[in-house]
Amino acid sequence: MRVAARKSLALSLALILLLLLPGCWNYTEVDDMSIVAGVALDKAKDGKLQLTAEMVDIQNGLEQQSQAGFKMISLSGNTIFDIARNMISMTGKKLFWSHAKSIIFSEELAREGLIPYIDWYSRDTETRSDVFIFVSEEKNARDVLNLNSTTESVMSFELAQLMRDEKFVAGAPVVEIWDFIDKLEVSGQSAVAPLIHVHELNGHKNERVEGTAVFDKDKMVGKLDGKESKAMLFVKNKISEGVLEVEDRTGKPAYSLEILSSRTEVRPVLREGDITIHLSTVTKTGLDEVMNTGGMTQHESLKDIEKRAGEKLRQDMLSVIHKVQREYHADIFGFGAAVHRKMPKQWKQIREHWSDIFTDLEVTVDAKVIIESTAKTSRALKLGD
Amino acid sequence: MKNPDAADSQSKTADETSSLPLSASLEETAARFRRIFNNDGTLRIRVIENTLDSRIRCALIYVDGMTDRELIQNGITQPVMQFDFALEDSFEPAELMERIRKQVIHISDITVSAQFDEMIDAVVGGMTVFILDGYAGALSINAQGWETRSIEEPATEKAVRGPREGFNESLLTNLTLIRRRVLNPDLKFVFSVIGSRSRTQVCICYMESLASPDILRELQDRLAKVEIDHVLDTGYLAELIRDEPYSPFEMIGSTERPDALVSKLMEGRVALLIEGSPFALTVPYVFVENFQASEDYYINYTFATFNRLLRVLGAFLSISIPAAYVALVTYSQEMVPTLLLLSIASARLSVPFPTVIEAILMLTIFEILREAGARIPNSIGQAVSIVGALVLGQAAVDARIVSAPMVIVVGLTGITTLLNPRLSGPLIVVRAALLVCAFFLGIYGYFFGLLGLVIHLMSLRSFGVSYMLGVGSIRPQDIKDTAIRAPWWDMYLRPAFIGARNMRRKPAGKRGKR
Repeated sequence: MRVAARKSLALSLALILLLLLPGCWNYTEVDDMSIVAGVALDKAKDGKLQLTAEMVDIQNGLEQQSQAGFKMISLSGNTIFDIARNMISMTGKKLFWSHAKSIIFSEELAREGLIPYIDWYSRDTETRSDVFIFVSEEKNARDVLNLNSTTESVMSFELAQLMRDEKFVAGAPVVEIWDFIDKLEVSGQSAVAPLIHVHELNGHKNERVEGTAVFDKDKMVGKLDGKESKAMLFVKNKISEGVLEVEDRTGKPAYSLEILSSRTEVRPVLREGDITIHLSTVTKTGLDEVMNTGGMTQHESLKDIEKRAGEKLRQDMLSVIHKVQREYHADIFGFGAAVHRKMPKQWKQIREHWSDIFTDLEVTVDAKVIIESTAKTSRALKLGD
Repeated sequence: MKNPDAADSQSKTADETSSLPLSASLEETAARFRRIFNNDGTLRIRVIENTLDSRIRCALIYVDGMTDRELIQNGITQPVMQFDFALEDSFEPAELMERIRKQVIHISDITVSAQFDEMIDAVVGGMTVFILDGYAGALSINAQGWETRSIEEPATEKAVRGPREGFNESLLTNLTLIRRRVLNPDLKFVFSVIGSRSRTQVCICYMESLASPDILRELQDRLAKVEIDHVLDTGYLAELIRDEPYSPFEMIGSTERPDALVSKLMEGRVALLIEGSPFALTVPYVFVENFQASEDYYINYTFATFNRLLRVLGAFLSISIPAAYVALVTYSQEMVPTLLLLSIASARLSVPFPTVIEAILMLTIFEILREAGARIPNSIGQAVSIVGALVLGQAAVDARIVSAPMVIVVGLTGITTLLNPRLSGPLIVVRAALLVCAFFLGIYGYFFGLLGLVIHLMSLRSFGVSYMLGVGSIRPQDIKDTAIRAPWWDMYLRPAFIGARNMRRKPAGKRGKR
């Protein structure tokens, strides 16, 4: 009897502990929460923080089966979590952050430093660290999200989709928030984020991701445009697809090379006590467009194009490196990290004043472009007589 | 309601009279039969006399409907009436009885009985008792004959390829079906009787050189301990002699197919058949048998393996889908792909019940429909499917009583359950348990429940053999007939622990063509 009593006591104890210990108390029905798609952070006029959340409107999506609707709310406050909780008083439903895809910071906030605003996002249990981070070139970050009234779709999801396909454009870096935070914490490497702005042509408004925000520590210090961003990605060995534009002999852009694969190696070299960085890029491409009537085979050999493309790539890379070195003093290319990997002993001595060294660092670039194929045809279109 | 005591006293008087020695007088014996079969209109006592010698008076006692009338007439009545005995004036009745048995009666199966209770058993069992006036003894003549269902394809275990014969309700027919497949005196049939009132014939069937004597003895011991007044189906016995009486899982196999039964015998298992049931039991029973269909062994092994994997997957899905859905939708929404979550959320909008209530509601409705479909006559079966599919499925979603994803969840659950008809009972129980776990503890609870299920399964034993035999084994021979079915030329050993007495089925790796 006593054994049985002890057994049942142990069993019930185990069951009760089982209920209490796992901490799975977050029972919620899906229709009782507002699913946050993305968020924009601005500085309000009174100096407070203004948070604009784009939420999926499942009610709306129900009627028009094709697309989910959206709902925007904006609230200002002192801390992000405070705002996030206070938003419940506007939605009536608890905000659910796990499915948020994009976070947009205004340039103003970025220039002040992002650490205070990123902490909650990386600390909270519900938010995810694979959210895409953007810096808005518009006056307010929320203006980008507000575009959803024109595009009739959930802007944050559209931005996430855009980032997934950004590799075909290679005009901006693709940065998830964990990556951004990682770069902030690692020495010898500075963070970047893609820039986003509202593109307007003939009255059509669209979001457009182009260019790079360069950070020194957590403060934004400058911008690179789309072309410079591509060169930067070449330096960082982050190019997998994209297009290389090449001019013909007369200096007119005439050829498009589709990048099939690209590889950049960073080699720090110690020369007479000074560190120099040597970059070598090998890009395999396919010739995909010829914009002159003469055809490439008559005037130029593929070798010429390859040579010219390689030279242009080399110059682009060098110019962006020099620009960042001179203007921003932020090692966004990770040269410091490369030195750290290759020469850990030297790195210990120079890590304290790496940003000074980086500014005067000598960099040599060796770029090689290989045309592997000419797509479907080996000749250019010719005019008949 | 009958008074049980009255029935007992009646059988007591019958016992008293039957223990008396047999009388030589025909009238007296007949009267005793009438007394015992009082109020039984089916008893027939036919007194006949030889046409040439009226001193020879006999009587046939039998139960109408259990006997072949034509056989009695041609084999007993006619020869006895017309045979020229050419008796002298005085004759010895015992000699006469001997002559009748040897010379007159045409029927082959005759036993001599001198005990009255033997004769009663014989009459009840459909035998014809032959008594001769002046002789204190009787012949039990086997002129049995009654209607049985013909041999049909079993409805519960259909096979596209393979034998189409199934057991019927006649024990002897069933044994014939087995014997025809094993022409070997090694195949043993041991009879006994179970049921203090029904006195049902039970037959234990095994291959002497293959079956483990321990398992056989264990089965006989357990059968000997069974105390029950009647047995109508092997299901009674399966529940009485099984291991782990509280587990929802079947611990004893049952089959309607003679070919499946023989294959079990050939693996060293012991079978149990009873009169009146087309279902034969096999012991020991292991978990993987739930997924085995006899057709698996007749078709190409690749396809058979695929089918088996489907069944295993089906069983897993059928217990998991509702629990996983509830856990994901009410606890771990972050694990659901965004677009799926959005469509679930919009489908759940304005549904009044919590997800778990929805799940229980729909699963219950599905089980109601299933049970209704199984019980009603075929002619109105269509009505049930219409009510189920249209009224309850479509209309309930349109009326926003349940959400559309839940209908999909329940539909998938139902279909996957049907993949494993042998497991449908345990699957329902396990599914409900997992659902409750998932509701209280989310994904954690679901996995905890699965873990508990595995622990439970691993602890089960059927007749001393581990229930999960072969599952999780790393020896290739052990898994050749589990979730996969290896080709026949590769299955050269019998399952370990069952066919341990003679492991080797065939020479290793020998194919027909070499």
